[in-house]
Amino acid sequence: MAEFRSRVEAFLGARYPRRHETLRHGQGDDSLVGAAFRDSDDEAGDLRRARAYQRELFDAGLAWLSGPVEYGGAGLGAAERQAFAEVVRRYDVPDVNGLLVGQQIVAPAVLAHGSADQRARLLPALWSGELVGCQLFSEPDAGSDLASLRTRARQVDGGWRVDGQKVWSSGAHLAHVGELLARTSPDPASRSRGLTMFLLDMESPGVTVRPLRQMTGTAHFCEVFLDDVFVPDDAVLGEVGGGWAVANVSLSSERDNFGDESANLFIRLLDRLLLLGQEVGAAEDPDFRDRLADGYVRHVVNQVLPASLETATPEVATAGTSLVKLFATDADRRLVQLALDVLGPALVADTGAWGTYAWSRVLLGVHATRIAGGTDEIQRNILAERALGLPREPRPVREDRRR
Amino acid sequence: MTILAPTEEQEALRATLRSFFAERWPEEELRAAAGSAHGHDPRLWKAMAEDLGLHGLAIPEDLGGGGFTYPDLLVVFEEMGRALVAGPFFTSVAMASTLLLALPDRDAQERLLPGIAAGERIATVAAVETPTSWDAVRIAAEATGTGATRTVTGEKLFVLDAEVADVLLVLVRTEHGTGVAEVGTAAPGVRVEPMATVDPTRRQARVVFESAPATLLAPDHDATPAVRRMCDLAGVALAAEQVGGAQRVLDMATAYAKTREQFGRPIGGFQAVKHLLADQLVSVESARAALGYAAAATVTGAGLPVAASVAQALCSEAFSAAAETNIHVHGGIGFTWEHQAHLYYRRAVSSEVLLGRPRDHRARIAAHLLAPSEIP
Repeated sequence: MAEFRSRVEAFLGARYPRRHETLRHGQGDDSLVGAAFRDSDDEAGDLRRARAYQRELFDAGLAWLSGPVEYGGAGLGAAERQAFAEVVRRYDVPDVNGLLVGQQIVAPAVLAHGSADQRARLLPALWSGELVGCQLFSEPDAGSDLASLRTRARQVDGGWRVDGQKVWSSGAHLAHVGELLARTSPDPASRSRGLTMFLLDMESPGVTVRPLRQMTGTAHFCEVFLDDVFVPDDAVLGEVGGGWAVANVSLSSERDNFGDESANLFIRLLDRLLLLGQEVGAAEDPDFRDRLADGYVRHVVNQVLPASLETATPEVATAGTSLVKLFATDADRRLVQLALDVLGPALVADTGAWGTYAWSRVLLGVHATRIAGGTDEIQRNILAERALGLPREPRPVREDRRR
Repeated sequence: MTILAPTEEQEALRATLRSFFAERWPEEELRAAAGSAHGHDPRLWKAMAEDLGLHGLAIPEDLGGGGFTYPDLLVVFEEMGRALVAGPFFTSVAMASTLLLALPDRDAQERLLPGIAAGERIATVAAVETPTSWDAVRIAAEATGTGATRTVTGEKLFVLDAEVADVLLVLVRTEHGTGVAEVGTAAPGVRVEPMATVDPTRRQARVVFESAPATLLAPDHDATPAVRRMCDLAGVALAAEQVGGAQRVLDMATAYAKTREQFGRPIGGFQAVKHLLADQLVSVESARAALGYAAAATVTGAGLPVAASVAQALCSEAFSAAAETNIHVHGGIGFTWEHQAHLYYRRAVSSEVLLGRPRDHRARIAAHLLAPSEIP
């Protein structure tokens, strides 16, 4: 493991400055949006830099650490993954946010349910940054209740014709491939049993992507309109009618990786808050000190909680990703609230001072984390039902029975 | 940052302890001890020592112990916290033994540790003098005399289980700074005055010393580093107890929510209750993670003071919150004397402030963070 660590150190050290070296109050770009909750002013530029960095990682065998070697992975274990996360956290590397949906949501589903051809075609491409992925799950009327989605895929000669509308698809306007969940059973009451997953070429005729402006002011997630879009048979991911199982691989992996992503962001915010406190004279304020230390406690837990949960009871371990996400979203909000209390009016009106008004974007952006990838309330239901074994939510009344 | 995952031996030890306490420490025994004069059950104490060798588990073999690791001992504290075992085990093992092991005084170790390891001698630590802080370094008690032969004068508060202890390790002021004086509880000039305590399973006392004869341990040294080490290691042991207790009350509340019915269905089916319990699960598992992190630090020694405070801050709050939720989920039954919920709550709040409040631990962490260095 020490050897692996030094390999990572050597790779990163030759290319990027250490986070600590670049961190001086008043020096450099004070923006906090780069990594802040998938919110950037220059997404295309960020993505270009991310893809170049990802290519280098891939060529060095450091991109997909736990992935199988035949699909471009490094065939290593969780320990290496954690070691890499710890080391990379110390360097100022390009923000890879734009690639995460493809790698952490689409790729795991392809690995688990894809054909040999789909795996060979997509996995190395997603992990080298050659292809950018997006997720096409949610719809205007199907959010937390995903199984009620209405996008229809009709079987035609050689494939399927898809009609419908998707929403909240992060980075869909920059993506090459979309993981599309659609209803293939004509019976709307079939719910999760009537769904099929497709790998949609985002260049297909009939696909219209419209970025939505989010409350931070930037446009990162999208509406996607599907108008009689043809999808060939070999683009079905998993079984026809087996889309729900595929979606669950993606959703669970999204939550799972949320921990790493969130821990990366959290340490950067904590760093900056520490500097800020010293700069504005809050370092001796007992309330600031108390809450900064609380932030540190949560930073520690962010990093060790996933490993700790692997040793928990099987029931708790199964729902571990929900637990990590709930812990992290709470920690994020506490830290942002501390920034607001430290800065006061300087967070809501720009005094021009370095590194102050920049927090406003984080304050606005933090709300996404409690919604994306399953709301906090959905995560609590998952924990209560799967980890604690409490009664399930009442089943929805089926249309046919209501009639 | 890493955690210490439990070994197979530790899981086996855990299983042994779980069935041992289930058999030897049923609720009747717990209640009997809680209602007794000293909150101590000598029969259980003897069985713990003779059948399982728990007291000396982490004491080196040449000092009469089992020579196991501190993380092995943490499993014992977690299970004892779960079972809410009453008595002086925490103070005699996590505090007094740890302090003795940290002091450069081989004679004292050979004199005292074999008895503690065998459960034949109960030792406790008399440290705190003011009710507002757990700052062991600020000490007024004096040890007059020279070398090891001293007399102690002063007053200590919150001394754990002093009434059943044989030996007091008293923090005193000396010419080198802080010292540790060994004083017999039966020695002349020692007066133990029990304090009324919220937690009947862990008693506390005021101890007054009036020229009490004492042996100053490691008389040529400042004991401050040893005292700090005791605070850190005992803090991790307390965190283990708290995780055990927190898990137990969460289990209790969850089981009740599955069986108690209102409006024609189990109350655990209502989101108001489900989400309350889900939040406690997050809290308990994050406390367990912090404990695992601190347990790793007890082995490597790296960053132990901060890691111990991280664990204390989180585990204290997690146990108190879980104990409070347990009362609430049980409703009126949870507020009765007959239900165990209050016993765990009493332990939770008394533990929360035992070795420093969560905010005291965060103050230590802040001092570390605001010193110029990279956040690890």
